[in-house]
Parts: sequence; C-alpha cells; structure tokens
Amino acid sequence: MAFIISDILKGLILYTPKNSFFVKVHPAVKLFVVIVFSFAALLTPSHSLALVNLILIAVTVVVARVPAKALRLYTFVIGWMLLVSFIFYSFFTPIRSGPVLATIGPLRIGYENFMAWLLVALKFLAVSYVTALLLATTKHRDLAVALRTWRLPYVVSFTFASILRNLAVVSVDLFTIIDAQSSRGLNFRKGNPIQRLAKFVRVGIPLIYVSLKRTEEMSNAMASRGFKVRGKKTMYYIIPMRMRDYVVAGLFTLHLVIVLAVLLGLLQFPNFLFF
Amino acid sequence: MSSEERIVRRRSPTTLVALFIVSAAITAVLGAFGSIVFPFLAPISSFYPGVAFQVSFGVWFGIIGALAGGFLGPFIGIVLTGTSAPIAAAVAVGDFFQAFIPMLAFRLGKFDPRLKSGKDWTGHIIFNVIIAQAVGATIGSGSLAAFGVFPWEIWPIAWLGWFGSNVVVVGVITTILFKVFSDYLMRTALYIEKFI
Repeated sequence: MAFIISDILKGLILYTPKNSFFVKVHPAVKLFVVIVFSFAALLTPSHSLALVNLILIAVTVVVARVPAKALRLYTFVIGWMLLVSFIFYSFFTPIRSGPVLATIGPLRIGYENFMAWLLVALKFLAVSYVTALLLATTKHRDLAVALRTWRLPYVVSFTFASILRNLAVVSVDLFTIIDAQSSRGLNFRKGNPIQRLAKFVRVGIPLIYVSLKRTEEMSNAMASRGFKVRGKKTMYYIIPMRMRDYVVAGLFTLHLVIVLAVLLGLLQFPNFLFF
Repeated sequence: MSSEERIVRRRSPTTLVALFIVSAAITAVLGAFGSIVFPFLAPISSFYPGVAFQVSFGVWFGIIGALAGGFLGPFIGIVLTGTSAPIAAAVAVGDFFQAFIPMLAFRLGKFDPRLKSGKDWTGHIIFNVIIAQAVGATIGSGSLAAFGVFPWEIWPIAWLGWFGSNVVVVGVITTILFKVFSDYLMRTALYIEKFI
C-alpha cells in the first residue's frame, strides 16, 4: 500500500505533463473547470446524467493524454472507498424498498440500496477523474499563476505554490526515512493495526525533526531575499488567456447550468438507462 | 529568561509563512500516506496518523498550525488521494476543529505541551483526545454522509469508528510527539505561545 501512495505522490507531484490540448489550457481555467464540474457532478440527480458526466470527463481525460498509470492509481484508491461504501449501502443498511437483487447467507442486497450506491459511485468516479485531470496536466508553478489570475493576494499564491513544491520534498523525506527504517528491519506490512501505528511513530519523529530544521532554513532564505507579505510584486511569468480558454470555461459552465436546470425540474433529461 | 533566549524566540513574518508551508505540507503528505497505509475500513474508521500531527501543530504553532496543519494540509492530502475539492473541503473542516480546539484549550487553560503536571495531562486527555476528536468526528463523518459516501442510517457507526480510531492515534502518537518535541520547540522561534 505504501508503494501505491508513493507512486501517487511521486507520479503526480513530480510529474511533467505530456503535451496535449488540455495541457495548454490556462491553469486558472483548469482550476475553474475542476470546481464547476465537481459541483455539477455532485449535484447530479439521476443515474443517466451521472453516467453522461462520467463519459464526458473520461473523454476529456483521454483527449488530455492523462497517463494510464495515474488513472489506474486513482481508480484503485477511489475504488477501495466505493467498495467499502457498497458494503455499507448493501449489508449495513436496512432494505429500503423494491426487490432483493442478491442474497449472500444472511445478507441481502436491496435494489433501492444498490441504486443509491450506484449514483454515488458514478458521481465519485467523475469527480475523482476530474481531479486527476487537473493534477496530471498542470505544473505547480502554473497553479500559482492560476491563483494570481483569480486575483488572490501574492502571499496566498506564493504560500500555495510553496506547499505544493514542499509536498515533493516532504514525500521524498518520508520515503527516505521509510527506506532507512525498513533497512533496519521495520516492516510496515506486518502486525495488527495498533502495532503498525506504533511503527509509524518511528517514521513521524524523524520526519518532524527534518521538517522543523527546514522551516528555519526556509525562513532564513526568505528573509535574506527580502520577502514581504505586503507590497506590489512584479511577475515575470505570466500566462495570457486565449480564445480556447474562454471556450473551455464556457462549455463547462454550460454543463453546470444544464445539471442545475435538470435538478430544479426546468429541463427533462431522458432516463435512458435506469427506471 | 536570558537576553540570548529572547533573541532566539523573536519571530518574523517569514518564520510564520515558512511554518505555515511546512505544517501544511507535512499533514498533506501524512494524510495521503496514512489513509492508504491503514485502509482497512476506509474512509471512516481507518487509522489516520495525520490527526496526531494536526493536534500537535495546533498546540505548538497556534492559529498558523490549526489552519495549515488542520485545514489546508488535510484538504490537499484528501484531494491527492482522489477525492473532489468540495468533499475534501467539508471533511477538512472537521480536521480543522481537531487542531483548533486543542490550540484554544492549551492557550486558555495554560496547559504545558511538555505534559509535566497532572493538570497538563488532564487538559491533553479531555480536550485533545476526547472533545476535539468528538467534534471532528461529528463534522467529518457528517460531511461524508451528506455527500453520500455512506447512508445516514449508519452514521452512528461511522461516527464511532472515526472517533475511536482518532482517540487511539492522538492518545498514542500525539502524546509521544509532545514528550519528544515540546521541550525542544519551546526553546526555538518556531513555538507560538499565544494565538499568532
């Protein structure tokens, strides 16, 4: 499991995006797309529309050339959560109404319970992939540009960009410490949860020590370069907005409007898949 | 306190910004890492080691620690593991209170994070281990139920799972962190005695 998160962190944080149409979209628009699409997907009231959302984002992911490895990892992580969610919806919840789909010993899966879970699964897969889309097609530096484009104060965009950059540093520290402790015989895969938690302390303590030392070094480096929270800044890295950015933002806004219209009953969406 | 110590403890805005950055980065990585290493009943009752660091950062670094380590770090960590921003933000509000309540309690109650007296231990157990985790579990598991990760019918089980696992994590790891680091930190410019 640790290797999976290692891959996610190293793969997404230290990732250089492939060239594609979506990579060239302005980072502020990509951030806008993620927020707008997430709200649209989570507000989606029907299975059919949720499936359309998932197909829409899947097509965008393919066009954007998001690496299959990143998608596999995200599918694994979100798939695990959905599996647990399925168990809760089916086995730990009383059958709401409708027929029984399956019986496993004393456990029964109700149709309504299954459908309720399926809607959640379709929504969560869609929002998970749109998050992967942003992370796999955007550099950290560009995310800071996105926040500046949104007129957030300089200190906010600087801090956010620095956090993203430090994610890579901290994760490398973390896996270095894990490797060092593993070479001393510490095995995270053995033992019950409490024992594994106790082993985690042997990773957490060196990690905090290393990070606190880095805090002092970073603070001194910032002070020596004349960092100030307030004051006007000159930016040398600017990404201009182009026509394609407005088109992408417009399309995803239209998508949100359609979902809202269906949600409010102003627009009928054919329930072609489920009844 | 000698004049030399006073010089060491003087803080600048760069210290606060650097503290914010590192606190958020640590809790983000640990949040993402811990959720995967201990996933046996994720998302509601797996051990989440990041919470131990959230509580510690709130107590050591004041508002900075509560905001960075309690909200922004977990938010980024949750997003990194594939959850969408609105859900991550809602869950991170619960995490924020898990850091904010200890931060508030230790300052108003004048408890010592080195846990030297019975009063300090009592404050640690009541506020950090129990009350903060109860509030965080209520908001966090409530957010997950509201977004449909599990149905409301099993919310009490989810709450109990969240609360119970966090009580174990904070009771074990935060206590060790306090005993190991508090004394060292309180002699540096990184420790924030008041709120900011």
